[in-house]
Amino acid sequence: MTQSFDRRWVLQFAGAASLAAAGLPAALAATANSAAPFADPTLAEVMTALGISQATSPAVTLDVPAIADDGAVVPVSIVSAIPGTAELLIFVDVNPQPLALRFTVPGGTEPYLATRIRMAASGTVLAAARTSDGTLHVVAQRVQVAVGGCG
Amino acid sequence: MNHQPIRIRALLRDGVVDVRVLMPHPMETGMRRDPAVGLVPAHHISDVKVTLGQRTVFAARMSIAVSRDPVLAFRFAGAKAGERLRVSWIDSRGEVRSDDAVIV
Repeated sequence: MTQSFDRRWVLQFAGAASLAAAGLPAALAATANSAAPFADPTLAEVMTALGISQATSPAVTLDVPAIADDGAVVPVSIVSAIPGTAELLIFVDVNPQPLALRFTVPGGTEPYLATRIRMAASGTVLAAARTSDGTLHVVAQRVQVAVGGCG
Repeated sequence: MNHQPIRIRALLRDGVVDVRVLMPHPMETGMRRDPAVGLVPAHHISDVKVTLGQRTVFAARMSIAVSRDPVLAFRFAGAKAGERLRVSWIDSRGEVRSDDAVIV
């Protein structure tokens, strides 16, 4: 049976496990696997960008329920209509690790993602589309959570 | 730890492949207390990649803030029915899993 896993891809992450507790593994911020040259944005940068985005009619659509019974399983989907969207990112402001997911959009793949996230408590879900020049286009939705989902 | 197979559905419609993936994984946040063992250490998928031959059609990094048994939905163009997609993940302990499915 041929090797079912690209060994070079796996070796990039050697040593990353101990960093995982700090958030998205820091060692991965500039791996060859990611086409984007930028590091993870901070929540503060995303909140600043949100202020800018709201002033310019964002073309990013965030679909998340206003009320979530179970904070451990909150469905979320994002789609960006902004040309040149290089990444989609999902943040939750009340989480101990605010960045939930960073999707690097390859050529030929739509800037669309649906998944399920955890929310520690009621808070704001922020969806960001990052273009190749580094600009963040952000939309946000407040979600009320009945039961916190992190522990 | 043995992980169950990744469940993959890849449907081609009007030139676009609609993919749904479910990756069985405990996705422990490191904040959960189990009555028997105390604080359960973090253990979560950190990276996912989906390829079509040499081409990467999906790549994402995840933190503890993604739900247990992560699901992903995404769409891409430029593939034909019968081609094979490979979904691979690696987690915070370095454990890995890879599974394939045919585009229908």
